[in-house]
Amino acid sequence: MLSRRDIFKYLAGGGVGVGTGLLLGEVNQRPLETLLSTHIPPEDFSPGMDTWYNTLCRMCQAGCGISVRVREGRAKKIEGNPNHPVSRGGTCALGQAGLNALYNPDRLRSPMRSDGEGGFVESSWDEALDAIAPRLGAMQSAGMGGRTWILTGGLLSSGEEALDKFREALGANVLRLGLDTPATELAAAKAMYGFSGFPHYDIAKADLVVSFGADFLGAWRSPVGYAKAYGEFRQGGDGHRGYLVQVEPRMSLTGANADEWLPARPGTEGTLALALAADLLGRRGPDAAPAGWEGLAGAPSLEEAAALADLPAGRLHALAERLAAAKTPLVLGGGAAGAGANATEALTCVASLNRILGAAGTTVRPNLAHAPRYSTLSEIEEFVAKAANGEVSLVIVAGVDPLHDLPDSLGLRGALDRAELVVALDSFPSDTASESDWILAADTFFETWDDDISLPGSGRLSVTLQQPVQKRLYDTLSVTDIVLQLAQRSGGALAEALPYEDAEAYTRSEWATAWANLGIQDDFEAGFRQVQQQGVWVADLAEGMADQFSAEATAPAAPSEAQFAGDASEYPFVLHPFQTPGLREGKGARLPWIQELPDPQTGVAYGSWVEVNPATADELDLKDGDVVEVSSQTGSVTSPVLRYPGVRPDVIAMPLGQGHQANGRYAQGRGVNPASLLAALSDGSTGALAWAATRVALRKTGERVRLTKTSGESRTLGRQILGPDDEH
Amino acid sequence: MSTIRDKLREYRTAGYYTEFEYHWTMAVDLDRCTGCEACVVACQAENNLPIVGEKRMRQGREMKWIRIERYWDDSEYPNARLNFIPMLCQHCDEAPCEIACPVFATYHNQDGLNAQVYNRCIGTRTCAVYCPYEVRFFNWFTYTWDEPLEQQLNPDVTVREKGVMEKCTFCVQRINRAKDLARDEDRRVADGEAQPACAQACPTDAIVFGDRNDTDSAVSRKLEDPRAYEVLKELNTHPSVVYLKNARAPLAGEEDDGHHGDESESHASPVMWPDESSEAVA
Repeated sequence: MLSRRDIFKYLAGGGVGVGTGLLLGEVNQRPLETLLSTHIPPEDFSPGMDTWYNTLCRMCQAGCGISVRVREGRAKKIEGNPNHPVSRGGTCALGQAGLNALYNPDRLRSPMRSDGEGGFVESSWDEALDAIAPRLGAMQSAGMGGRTWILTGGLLSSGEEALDKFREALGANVLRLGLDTPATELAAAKAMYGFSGFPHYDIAKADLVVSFGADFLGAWRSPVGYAKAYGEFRQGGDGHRGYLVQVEPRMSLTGANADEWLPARPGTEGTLALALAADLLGRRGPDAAPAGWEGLAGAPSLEEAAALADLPAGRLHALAERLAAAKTPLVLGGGAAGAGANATEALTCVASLNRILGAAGTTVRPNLAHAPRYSTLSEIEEFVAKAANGEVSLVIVAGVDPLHDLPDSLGLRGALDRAELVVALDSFPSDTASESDWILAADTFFETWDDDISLPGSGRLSVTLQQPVQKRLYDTLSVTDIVLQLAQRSGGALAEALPYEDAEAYTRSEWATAWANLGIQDDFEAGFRQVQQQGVWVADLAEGMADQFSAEATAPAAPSEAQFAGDASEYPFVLHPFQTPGLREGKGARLPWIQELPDPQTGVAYGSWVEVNPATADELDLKDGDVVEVSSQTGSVTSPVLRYPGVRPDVIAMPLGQGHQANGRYAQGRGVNPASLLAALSDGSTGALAWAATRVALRKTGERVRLTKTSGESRTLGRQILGPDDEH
Repeated sequence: MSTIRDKLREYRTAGYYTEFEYHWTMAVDLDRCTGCEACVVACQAENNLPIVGEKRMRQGREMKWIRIERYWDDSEYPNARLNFIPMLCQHCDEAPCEIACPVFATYHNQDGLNAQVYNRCIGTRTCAVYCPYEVRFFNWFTYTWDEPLEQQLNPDVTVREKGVMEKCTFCVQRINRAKDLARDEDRRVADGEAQPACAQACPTDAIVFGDRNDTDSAVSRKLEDPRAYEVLKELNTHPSVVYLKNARAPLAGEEDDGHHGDESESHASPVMWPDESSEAVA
């Protein structure tokens, strides 16, 4: 028993704190032993001591390795895993806020059944699985698996593989969804490098980076990995300082850090790149050109491209000179430049610069060949049409929130309404889950097993292991567990395809199979234990990967003229939706730390805003906080204006990620969702959604609000805050 | 024997602090810093900073021990440039806040840290008025966490209540932990062993933290960089945070231009390209 005196001693020890080692040693330890004498703590649990688990961050698709500090069985802090080849010990704002997902008060705590009136009632796993599995079994035996559609994301982890095996065994259809998918980037890489995977961009090695629309420091693909490289690029210690040029209509975080920001007219990025390519080929002479590339058919001159892109020709000439003079240049393309109706053509022209500059193979390197395929707009339309005809019996939504993230104009809401049964596998009552018949409460990534092959990668073969860092907080199962259970209860081919007890057994089996296929004969248990400690498995198979780079590529064709939804006279502005480092497409909105985090460039927190160029704002008589109606052909939203000097006068920019109809107290009803305005327009080559090609009109409503904004004075006023002589 | 009054006078004399056991110093390389705010969330997680909510934030009561300040230069679109600078308690060796506190709740410790003793603080808020860096935050309310968010709270850091001032501690709990460990092993804290949460999170390694007394430490080497400067140096606060100036060259055509450009030209078109006439780029 613990006496009153012992309690006081214990409290005194705690109060004095860690500064007094002697006191701690004498006072703090013995009473704690008494406290825990009646039960035996687990091996890795010692009171007052941290335990660190290396695992995988699943807050975005980048696949960074993290180390989680666990104290008394509760995750306390996320740090970067220094062993990890992608993130190398770094983290981002969203990754740091991961614990807000684990401990979120609005997480689902058990399976939920729709009460048919917009509400949900608590259920049990037996009830939930028994309501769904018999339907699956019946569809399976009747050969009607095609009436099931699975809505999910990319295919990069063992868990996603399990879902895919499930789909295959059932004969179901799949939609791989996301707003900003890398579909056009992958297609351009395939065309120009002959390589089926996402290239590894070695920013650290480059002395010049020209990025067409890729906000690689903010939210593009692998912000932490790229930021690590950016630090070396700028001040690597060998005396060279890399030069960064950012071409984009709205100054992103990367644009704000660039040495030059070139606000090209949206949709002209490809033509710009092609003009630069032709100019470079001209400088190098005919011998230096790849076979068949002479002259680059249809390439405009720099002057013509400058006029088209609304940039001064002098800047383009200077850029061409810089590119020609650079020793290790690197050209990137993505973001809005990869989301127009001519996006693949444009990004192919951008990638062609790397071919001409000799960057392909040096600063652009092959990665683990893995090209996830994303659904095209027409596949989404097919699903919607089938649902309208009553041909969709079951929809399983796993890990995506299409009703929030994708445009309303796709008609997904109506399709889900018409499906007989919609089952969502989610940790949160997301916008889509809240419209479902069942929500199967899923674990967060802190509570279960999985793994991930990072898409942007590190140029080496690396697979990150996800392992539980603490016990489940609630009556939840991982997505993989749910899939396994459904398969077992449905029987037949489904049960045969996925004969695993749980996510751990399945993940281990996947790793064992993969290692066996690679001819790794080591003791599996010992090897796996080592991966658990390191958090990541890295193999040097770079030799094999280099072969995937093709020596030749056909010359890029001139991109077709940019198409936009909406007539320019009626809708004078191009809408530029962008992701902030915290909110991204919407996953950050339910995390209070992210809601309270001011946007880096504007200082706005807790809401949405419309960025308007000050000149345009003057023309329309708009001041900060004036509420405007932003309308496209397919919808409209109202939001306050923020005058932003980093956006073209003919473009308005809006942050994605807010405007949730559900998703918990922090997200629900806050701000607006510009994705809802987007037209169902697609990239001509890949059929991917062209999310940066919608025109909008602005209308002043007369209402005015005060933005929740943290910044004070936006000028240094001669205070030399940014360093001596920072002012003229 | 000196009276308390004598000690007080001595303590409040400039130059009282000269030598420290460890002289903890932070160097922030603004050429590496991208303004991504990973440090801001990392600090919030490590130091049990409250979630104040939208209403309080609108009232200017946000609690962020480290924040990213943003400064636009004097140019207009398309030449406008945005600069970021992380701002946090500068742990000044001649700290204006310390001489202001009537109850010694804020004081200088043996490591050169500007420390805040929460249970001494009586909430006069004088220190916040005296601080030229605006990095002190007052608890006007006792903030609570929506259950179960409180399960994340760091057990090594006190949760503050209404009526006390708080600010960046350089993650003193981590420093003390490293010092304890070093003392047990009868050695000094090694370079890099004590890292505040912001420095550890920083994905570009812009923040370097260490002991200035150790001339070989990474931070000591940073201090020798010609780009190193102190913010508001003219106030003679002797900050322990040193910034390395962003090495971005001014945009071409701007060097000779001290004002907002030619009036007549700026009326002609809102889009001004100073280097339109010349093709030279720095």
